[in-house]
Amino acid sequence: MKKLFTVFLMLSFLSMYFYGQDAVSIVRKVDRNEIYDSIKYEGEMIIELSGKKYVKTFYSYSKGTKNFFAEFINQDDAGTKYLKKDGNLYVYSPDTEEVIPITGHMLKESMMGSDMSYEDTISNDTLESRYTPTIVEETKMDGKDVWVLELIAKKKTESYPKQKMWVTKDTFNAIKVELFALSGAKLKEQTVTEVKKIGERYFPTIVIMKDLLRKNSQTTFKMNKIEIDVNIPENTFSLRNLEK
Amino acid sequence: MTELIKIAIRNIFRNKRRSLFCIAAIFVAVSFIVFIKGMTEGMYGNFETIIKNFEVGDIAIYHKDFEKKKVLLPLQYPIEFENKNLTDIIEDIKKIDGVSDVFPRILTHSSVTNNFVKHIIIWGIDFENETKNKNFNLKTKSNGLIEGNIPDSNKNECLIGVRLAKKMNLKIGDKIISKIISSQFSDKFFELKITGIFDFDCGHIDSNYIIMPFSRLQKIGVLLNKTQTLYIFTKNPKNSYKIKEIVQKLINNPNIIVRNWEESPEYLANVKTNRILMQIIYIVFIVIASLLIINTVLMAIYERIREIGIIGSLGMTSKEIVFLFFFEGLVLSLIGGFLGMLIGGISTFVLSFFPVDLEKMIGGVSFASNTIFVKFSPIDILYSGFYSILISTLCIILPSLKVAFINPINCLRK
Repeated sequence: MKKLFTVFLMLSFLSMYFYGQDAVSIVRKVDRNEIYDSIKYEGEMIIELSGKKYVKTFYSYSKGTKNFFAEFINQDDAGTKYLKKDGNLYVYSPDTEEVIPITGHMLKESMMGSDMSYEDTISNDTLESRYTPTIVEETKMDGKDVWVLELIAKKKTESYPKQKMWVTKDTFNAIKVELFALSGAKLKEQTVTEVKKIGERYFPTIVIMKDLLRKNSQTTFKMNKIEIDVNIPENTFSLRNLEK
Repeated sequence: MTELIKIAIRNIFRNKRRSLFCIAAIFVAVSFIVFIKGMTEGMYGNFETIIKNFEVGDIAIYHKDFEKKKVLLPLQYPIEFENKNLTDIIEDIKKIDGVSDVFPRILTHSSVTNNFVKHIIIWGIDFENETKNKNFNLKTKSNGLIEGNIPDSNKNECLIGVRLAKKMNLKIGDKIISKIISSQFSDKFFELKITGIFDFDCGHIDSNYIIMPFSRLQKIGVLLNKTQTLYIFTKNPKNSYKIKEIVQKLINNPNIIVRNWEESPEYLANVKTNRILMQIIYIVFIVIASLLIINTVLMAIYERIREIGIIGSLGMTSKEIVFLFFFEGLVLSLIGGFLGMLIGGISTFVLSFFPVDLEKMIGGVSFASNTIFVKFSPIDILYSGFYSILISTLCIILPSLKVAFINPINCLRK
């Protein structure tokens, strides 16, 4: 009896070791696809709410995890700029010609009334550094073989303490992500509807986010003319550039 | 009959203490009922005025989609009129007979970036014009501006509620950095300078609102020449249904809702519920007062059972006994009732000039006004008095009917 129990324990540890390692390596490969040293693209945000549609277009530049710059070019928002510098977020409003810091609770608020928060939009940290993953099951989704992973946040300050992720086995793309609150309530749902091969990576270029706390609402985030790991001048991420 | 009346009056003066006790009980009950009626009507009147002034007007106009999402106070559903701009439609509505004022208003949630208070509500109104014919502070009968000046409509300036200013630790000259979502779903960040502090004696508004010039908020919110809501104030609210129908025909747009104040969700949720609550409170007090009268009068009747036995044995018929006690009771009721109406009426009349501080009474902040003006109404006084007289008279007849038909010998034995 004792022997059986010991063998059972060893097998459990071994299987945990192998699955645990697999989950981490899967997440690492997802990060390899989605996380970049620098990126430059033209973006489009289509906000759909209760039958109405609002289209926002912008240029965006990002470097590492602490620097980000975006300037909106659609008519209603022309001249509105966002800057993330050394981890701090600022907005420039052409109406008031003022630079305003966005801190604390504001980061979790909706950006431009969309389903994405400021944090959702500007975050470029790896999943591996923020979450502990485990494989829940293997299944099919939209005709593709996927792993279903459960990710638990390593820090309590994480916006979404838990995530559930469907990762394709062939390209290591998280084609569907469910984001949960600490209480377990599902807050948001993200689906990737287009992936493009850029260099060695499979990069998601069209993402749909749904804020489940809002009825009949979704935001489509499109990335066009993408250039990854390009040289972006440092002065792009400066307050002076924001105020120009 | 005349003899019986003389006996009844003699009986009243024969035992002055008992008679005074009965009169006092009726007087206390009637004056109490009169006062409570004035108080409850005053509270209801206050709720109604607050709801109309701040929430619904006499008639409110807004987009049907705005109504569905009203809790979010969205700017994405402004009202648009075919072939007419906002100014024209306001002028057309003002021409309707019975309309006193028409005001466009905007109400929206705002995030604050530079204070530990994270969210406030911004109210865009034409403060100066709105308070010309209306008091926003019912207690002081004023526009509610207690410090500073009305903001300039060409600048990013605002008034702040007195409780909100305390909560945010702000004073005149300080700045609030706010963010709203415009009608085009854009982030609009702007800095507002506080030019004044208001006190509307309304906990919810004083604790959560800042007031900006309507035209300024209209511009920041990219509403162009539109508004989120229009409020119509009438000369006589009783005509508001008629005026509402005329406005509906004038606007003629199925996407635009025109609501009489009694149809609004705010009225139904707040005022109507409070009205029912006030009525329940009033009925409870009436029952208590009635029990006081009943108890006192019954005590007086049963105290005199031997007397009833004596006069019965001396030859007075049951009918005469009943009439005797009825008349006694009627006189006592009339005296007590009249005094009750007089004292109750004087006290409500005097108190109608002096506000009752509800906040101090209950130790908290209510949604509606923290102050109540007791309502003086001669009709309510007469009604309360008549009811009390009726109760006390019935209280005398019924037991005396019972007692009058008992065998006098049994009465003497008791």
